[in-house]
Amino acid sequence: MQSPPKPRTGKNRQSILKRAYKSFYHFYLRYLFKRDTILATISVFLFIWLLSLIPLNTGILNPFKTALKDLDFNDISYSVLNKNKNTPIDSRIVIVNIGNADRAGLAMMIEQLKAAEPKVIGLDVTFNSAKDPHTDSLLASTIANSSNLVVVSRLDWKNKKTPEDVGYFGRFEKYHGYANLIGEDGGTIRSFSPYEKSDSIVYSSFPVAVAELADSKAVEKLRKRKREYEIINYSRNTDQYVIIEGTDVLENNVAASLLKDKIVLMGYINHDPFNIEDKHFTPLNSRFAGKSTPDMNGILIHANIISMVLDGTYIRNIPSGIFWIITILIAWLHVALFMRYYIEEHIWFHLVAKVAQIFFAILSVYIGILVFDWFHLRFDTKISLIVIILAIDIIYFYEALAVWLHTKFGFQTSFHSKSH
Amino acid sequence: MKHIHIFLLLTFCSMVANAQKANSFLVYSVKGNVSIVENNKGTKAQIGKLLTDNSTITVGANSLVSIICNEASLFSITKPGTYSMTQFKDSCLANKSSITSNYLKFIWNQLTTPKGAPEKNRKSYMNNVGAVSRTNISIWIDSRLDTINYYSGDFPISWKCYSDADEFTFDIYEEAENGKPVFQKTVKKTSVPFADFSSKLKKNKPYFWQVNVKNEDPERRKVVYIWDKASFEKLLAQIRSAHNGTETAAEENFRIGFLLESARFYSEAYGYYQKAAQLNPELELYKKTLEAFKKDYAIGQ
Repeated sequence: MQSPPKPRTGKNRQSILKRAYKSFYHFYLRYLFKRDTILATISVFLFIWLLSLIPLNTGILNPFKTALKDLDFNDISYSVLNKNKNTPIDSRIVIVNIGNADRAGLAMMIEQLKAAEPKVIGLDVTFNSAKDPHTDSLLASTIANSSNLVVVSRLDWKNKKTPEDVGYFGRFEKYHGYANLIGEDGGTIRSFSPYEKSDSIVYSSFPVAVAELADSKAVEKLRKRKREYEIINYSRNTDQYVIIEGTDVLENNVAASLLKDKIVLMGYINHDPFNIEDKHFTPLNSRFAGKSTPDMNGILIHANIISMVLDGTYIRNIPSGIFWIITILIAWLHVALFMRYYIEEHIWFHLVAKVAQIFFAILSVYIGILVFDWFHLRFDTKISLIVIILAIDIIYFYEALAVWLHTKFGFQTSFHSKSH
Repeated sequence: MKHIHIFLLLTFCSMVANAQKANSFLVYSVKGNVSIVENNKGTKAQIGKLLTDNSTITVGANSLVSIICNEASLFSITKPGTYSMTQFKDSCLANKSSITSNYLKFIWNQLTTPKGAPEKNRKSYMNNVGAVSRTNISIWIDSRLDTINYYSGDFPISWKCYSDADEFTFDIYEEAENGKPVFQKTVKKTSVPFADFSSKLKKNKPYFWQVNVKNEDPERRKVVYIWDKASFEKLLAQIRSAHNGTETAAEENFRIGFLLESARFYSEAYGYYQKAAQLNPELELYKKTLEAFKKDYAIGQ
């Protein structure tokens, strides 16, 4: 007759946990503290550091770097996961699509808009030279008589002394701000520089100059952040701003109440995907990697920046110290796992390594997206992915080095010449 | 030995034959008034017409002709004038580099591209301008430079460019329209110093200058006039004596500078503005005027 099973006591549970820990320690944890693991992990970062010392740009020789050059995994949260889908329409901003209006048309639009008493009007159009004396005089007079009009300028760093080019009507303007955005030529626009300084003159960017007139307190917050650049929080796309046609403004089809005390941005918007005039790549692009067409007009990028400044919803970068600690930790955990299979079950090494890489890639991107979405914190998971990819090759190199050191100098290592 | 001689002779003959190979030009597109002269016979330019080195082409005002040379390189002529096809030999040079050399060039360019991310080196990555333009002229010349009087000094004729053009042709003509340039210079900067051409121009004679950028109609020609010593000194004496009251040396220099600038003697005015600012460095007006003058006329850039 069998005796009934004994009820589990606290002591039993403790011993199960202890045994589980012991077997886990034997299986994996003991490798964490092996000298080879720590030295191999250091070798990975040493290798990266040595690579960075080469004065040549080795990006072309590195397919990972080339492929990942303009990729930010956080873009997935915009383009695939519809991060901003539920963001309400920003009723503080009204965008006027100027279409193909010429200088006379623009002058008339500004006059019409002024009559509705908006807080500020931002004109996202550059005028590089004289065109027609009649229309030029008309627009010059309108610009000169508009006390709350901000016109875009352009920064050209080739001209180091006076980089800001205010254009043909610059001398008539009361306010202007540069429309330059940060990004590679034809690359994704993820950040902008709020202020630039040259020869003790401070230049404001166009969206900041517009926001300054609308809400100086919000801009004060931005100023206090003292950031050389800000990551743009793309909270809204074309459908989440009120966009009215310039022709409707001219024909007086727009109620003045819609514009009163609002930020009115005048710019060019074209919904035709094949029209790329003043269109840029943004993280909202439906194809977050690879070749595609630009997706957002400049005026909408400025509108997103203004929304971000007014709401104070800035995106922060994870402090570099914490970033490197996390990256080293991830590399260490992976190297320990790879070492275990490399030394004890080499037949499974490559399979486990590939599975671990895929698993980590999916997990890290997910964590990165969550952190980005919840805390507006950007963590570049690309680097840790590169580190893990490199780790496998470094282990091979480290093994050869360790065996050589062992033979020559009696260096203590878990590797031996016939490990696989 | 005999074989070597024959081989060298054949190589030489083949090189000579290659060097003398005539170019063939195919008219690819025509806009406006373009005519061709061949064997002293003038005809209207037609698409598909084959031209040789001996042909002459005449391009009228606001006209354009695109030509393909040796089935390899395409170029366009937009500038009005008559041209012999031999002038365009340079445009026939096709890129004969091998795949290997092109690949090595590509690798070298990539390796020597500066490292860095947009955010870490933002000034190099601020070329994306989020604005639309309402201007279709890429060259802009300050209207004050429509007539320039010059006697001496270091002063640049400058312009601004709003397109990606990286090369400009600066021409000086004797005529306000048409004619051949008496001075021509291709520059990468947006200015040409007077020192480059002033000695080549006759004094007390109006000349006309123009800046050209590829595939664009140039602005109307502007006037440049080199004064001789006697005439300039006479004018300067008049300016000096125009003021009867007392004035400091700085004030006098500033006044002369201002009047010379008004009379479009920019190079000379610059010298007087500099003197005024040196003599009275405390006065903000002199300093600011000098700074604005330098900025407006791109001096020292």
